[in-house]
Amino acid sequence: MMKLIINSSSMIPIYEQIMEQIKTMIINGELKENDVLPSVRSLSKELKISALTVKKAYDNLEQEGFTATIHGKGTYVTATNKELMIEEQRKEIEADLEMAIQKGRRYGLNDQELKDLFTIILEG
Amino acid sequence: MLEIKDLQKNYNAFRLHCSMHIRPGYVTGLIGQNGAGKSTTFKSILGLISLDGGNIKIFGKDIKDIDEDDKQKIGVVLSDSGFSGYLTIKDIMPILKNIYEAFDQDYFLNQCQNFGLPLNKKIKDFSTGMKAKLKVITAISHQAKLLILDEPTAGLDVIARDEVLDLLRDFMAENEQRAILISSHISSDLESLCDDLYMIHDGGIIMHEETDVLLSDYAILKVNPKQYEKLDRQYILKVKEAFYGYCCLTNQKQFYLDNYPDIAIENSKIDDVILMMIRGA
Amino acid sequence: MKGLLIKDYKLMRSQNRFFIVVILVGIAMTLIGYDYTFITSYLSFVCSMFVLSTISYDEFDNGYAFLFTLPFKRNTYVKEKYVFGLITSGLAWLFGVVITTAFQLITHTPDFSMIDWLIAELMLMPALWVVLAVMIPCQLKFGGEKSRIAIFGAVGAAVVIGIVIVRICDFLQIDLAAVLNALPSMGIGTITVLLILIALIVLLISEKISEKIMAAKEF
Repeated sequence: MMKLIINSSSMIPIYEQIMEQIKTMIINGELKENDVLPSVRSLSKELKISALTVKKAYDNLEQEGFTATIHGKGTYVTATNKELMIEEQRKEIEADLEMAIQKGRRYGLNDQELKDLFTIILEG
Repeated sequence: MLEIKDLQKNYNAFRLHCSMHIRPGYVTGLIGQNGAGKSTTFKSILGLISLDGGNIKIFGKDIKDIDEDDKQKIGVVLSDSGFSGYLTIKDIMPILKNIYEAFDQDYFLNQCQNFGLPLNKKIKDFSTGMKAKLKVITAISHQAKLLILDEPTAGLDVIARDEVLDLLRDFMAENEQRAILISSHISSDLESLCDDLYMIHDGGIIMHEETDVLLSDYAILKVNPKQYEKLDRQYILKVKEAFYGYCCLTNQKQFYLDNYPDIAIENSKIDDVILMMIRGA
Repeated sequence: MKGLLIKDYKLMRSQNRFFIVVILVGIAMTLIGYDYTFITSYLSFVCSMFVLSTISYDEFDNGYAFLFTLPFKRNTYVKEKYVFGLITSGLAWLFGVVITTAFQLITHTPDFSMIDWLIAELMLMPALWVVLAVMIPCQLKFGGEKSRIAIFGAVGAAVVIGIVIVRICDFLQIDLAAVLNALPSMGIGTITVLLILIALIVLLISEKISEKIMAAKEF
């Protein structure tokens, strides 16, 4: 069974958490091309969430091209351009960093203070 | 699969008026306080009481036209009623076999044994948990298409509830066209099982939302009076006064996350939503 | 209906201690007195009461609610009660007849006319059926406690009506005894058949009434 972890206190919607973790598993090879994902019902049972939430995640993954569904056979991982996915994840990190920097500037930190903060956290 | 339109039932001090739609493949929850109208709704669906208005259709047929063949495909758990307490599990097996054509005796027996239910003890001597488990096992052992469950986990401890919910999940997994209507006032159960929820209060439906949306888009904002003044309130559904200022319910969590990064925003659990819907303004 | 019959049978069986006491008392009473129709009427009457107790078991602890979500019509439920009543009292009657016959063969009491006795036994059945026909709808409509009162009331009323008829006959100077004595000329066999038919009709009417009662009930 897929080892997905759902954080219910996170601000990120559950279906997004599922999507992110599956994408990561595809990128680092845990899920290979043509691997079949667990059925919507069995995953919802394991995670103890509504089946619709899982379905939302699966539908979105399919829309974004990571998976494909054959009626009757299940949902399987499609061949994907790893670089493209990594690029996408990079962009997300960039956006988050951008937000943190903006916030820092709003609070009056200058660029040097921001860099120091970043280094401290990186090393901590 | 089950359509309730403008169901009305009047008792002395209480009036029920609601509409619901349960679709195949969905687990739909009905949550509300005691006395809000859950049991009355269920009894109306099952033909145990008459309607004062509106109509109910099961499998596309009006409930007046429901015959025994239709009832074969319905599994029922009632919180305050079951087989006669003077019977044992061994007694009820042949009864079920002769009442339900699709009764799966092996499955039934297996599940009873899995849950450690004594076969030769009178049901009236069972513990609350055992009685509840027996009711659920009975309802899922005859290939029903629709389950109507009124508080199936009431009186069960956490572990027993988990086991019963798992039984229901397996039930849904076996056939994509099945549906469940389940009522409870234990919202954590409903959160982890249901696909959509109806909230009932004082005889009326106060909210109907997909569980997914409730958990991801609904949030509780906790603001002090100053923040409240500056708040864009177009997505605030309910407000309640609190000692720190105001407690607000919204169904657009992302909007407030994006525009008000400084205020306290919490994911709302179903209980929070209910409290706010009932007590808030 | 089979499932319902099984249920009522199982409910009855859980009362098996009661059964044994009943049978023993019956046998004891037969040994003491020489009334040969006693044990049969006693046993059949007691067994027909089992129907009433299954109704009260069904009702107990709000059991009706769940029962009527099961796949059978309310009419089937009603019919099954009558069938069950007829079967149990019928079997009890048979049992009583067999025991009394055995007893008679063993003890060879004088003054015993086989035919008279058999006819008396046969007359029991319609009487029983009428009792069932009255008690079942009472139990269904009023539940345990109240129906007992209703039954006493009905029996009392029947007694009063009987007394009134006798008084009227006295008043009109009709010799009731002569009328009754004339009846045998119709042939006791015919009378028995007539009584059975009347009882059956009463049963059917009662069954329809019971169906109406159950159809209107809400749980």
